[in-house]
Amino acid sequence: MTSSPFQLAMQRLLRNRVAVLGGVLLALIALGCVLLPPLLELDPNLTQPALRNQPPSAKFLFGTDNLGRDLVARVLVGGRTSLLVGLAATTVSVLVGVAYGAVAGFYGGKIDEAMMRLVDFMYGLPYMFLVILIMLMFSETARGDMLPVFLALGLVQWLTMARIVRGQVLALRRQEFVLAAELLGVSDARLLIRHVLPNVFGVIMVYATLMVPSVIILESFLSFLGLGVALSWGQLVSDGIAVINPVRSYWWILFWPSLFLGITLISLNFLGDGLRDVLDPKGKT
Amino acid sequence: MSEELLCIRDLSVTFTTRERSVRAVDKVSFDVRPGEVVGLVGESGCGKSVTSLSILGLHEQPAGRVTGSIRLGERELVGASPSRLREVRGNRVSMIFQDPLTSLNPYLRVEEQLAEVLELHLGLRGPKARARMLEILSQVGIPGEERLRAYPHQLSGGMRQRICIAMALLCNPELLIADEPTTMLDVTIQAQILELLRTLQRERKMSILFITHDLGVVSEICDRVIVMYAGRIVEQARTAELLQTPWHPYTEALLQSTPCVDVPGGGSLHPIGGLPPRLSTEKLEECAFVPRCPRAREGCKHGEPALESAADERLRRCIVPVAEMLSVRP
Repeated sequence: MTSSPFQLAMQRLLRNRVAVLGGVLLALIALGCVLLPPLLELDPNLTQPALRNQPPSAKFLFGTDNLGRDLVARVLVGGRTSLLVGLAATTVSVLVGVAYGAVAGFYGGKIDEAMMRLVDFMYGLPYMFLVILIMLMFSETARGDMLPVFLALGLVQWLTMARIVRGQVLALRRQEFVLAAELLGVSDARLLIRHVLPNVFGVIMVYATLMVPSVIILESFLSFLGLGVALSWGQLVSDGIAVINPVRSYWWILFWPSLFLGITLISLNFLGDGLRDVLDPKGKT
Repeated sequence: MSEELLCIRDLSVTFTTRERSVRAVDKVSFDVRPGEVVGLVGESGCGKSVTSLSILGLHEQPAGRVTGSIRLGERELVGASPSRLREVRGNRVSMIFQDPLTSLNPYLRVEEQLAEVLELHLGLRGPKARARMLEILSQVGIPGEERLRAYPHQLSGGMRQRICIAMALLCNPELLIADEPTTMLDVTIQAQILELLRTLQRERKMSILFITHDLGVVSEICDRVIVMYAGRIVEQARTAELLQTPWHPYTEALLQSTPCVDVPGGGSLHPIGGLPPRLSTEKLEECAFVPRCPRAREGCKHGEPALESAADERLRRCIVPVAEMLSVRP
């Protein structure tokens, strides 16, 4: 009978066709990447020297690469890595960014000033350089482990989230319902968690959704540079570029991972834009 | 002395920004007795809201500096620790705000907002808490359980203000601070809310500190009125006396700028010319109202007049003789 403002926003989101399309495509790709490889017993690393550089056919839908590996298997398994990195690094940055920004915005004054100057300082650092440094630092101890990637990407992405949350919390802090709750004797922690943060939730969700594609791109870029740790779309695109030459182009090796990467990024952006439209604080009536 | 519920002495609130300091409230002293409704009147920026917020220790720290004394019963509130203030807030002193649209959390159902207070101060939960919520809602004129499950956006402005009042009264506070609770409501709802506050106040023998700039509202609900100008008290009197025979030119000017349907011929309105003074922390060389005062004279420019007792329960800060205020129109 009664819907919360959040439920109302979700109902409006379902009426946005582009956002729904983005959501459906994303779900299909994610499900495919997670479920298909074990179901079809696909092995992305099985080399078949006799079947190198095969164009797409009934047997190999996407063709094979220069070592005779099935590109369907490689694209799907690579997608797992890309999506996982996107989600995990975003989670890290949301947790750090929201906590940091919320505290700064809630207490304001000198605390806010000091905390935000640190963010400004970190903004000033060349973040790619920072990521590469972190990755190199961990590369000796944890080769092939994906945790350093999550951390490295998450730790450079939280800055924007912290700024956004801090601004929102700062404004909400002086809202009358927060004052009213404070006047009724509610403690700081409870005030922040129960009264302030739920009202920032929409904004957090929008930016988290838009952060996932940027993290995926970053990871792809790292892989492209040869700094990735596992098979991912970025790595596949890099492989594909390597075999493009004027004499003979095996276009499918580059095409399929690029297509999947592109669809995923566009879908996430559609979904994020749709969310922003329905959750924007100014659009709320 | 101990008969007063709230006792404010020499309260000053200073805000310091990078550029300058502003004393928003300057040596304000007044009392609120048990069961009394006191009106705090003045134009925007005169320090009414700042005064009320300091009672609950609610200032943007560390920008606002509060000095003086605010005693609630036997308890001193200026400089009290946050945890001691939390014991008082919502429990012995509650507050309702101007805008009922923004004083409720849009993401919480009515019952969740009410339950929080009950659990915090009375430790009530479950069916007991629910019974108390239904009781208080029926007292503020919102019958029926389905309103408990509503979100604020599903309620009208008047109903939201009733919810705010219910929330403020859950723990039977001794003092309710009402910061322009009717300003954002239309006139009919305004009358209903005033009537409701009056009834609840009589039933509970609760004190209300009523902040407003509407003298019509004052005449309906307040026992006693305090008029503030530029962070200072300029006049204090029983409501009827103040409205009939203002003894300060500012109060007089306020009354003349208020529309009144009771006066035959409608009575013409006289706005107060000029602007309130820029506040600073320096001592005043002259009466703060001089630039806008129709009764200003040479003597007004030599130092600020003191707040003096003019009659029983009457204080005024003006050098113009009372007899002249009564006989000569400005």
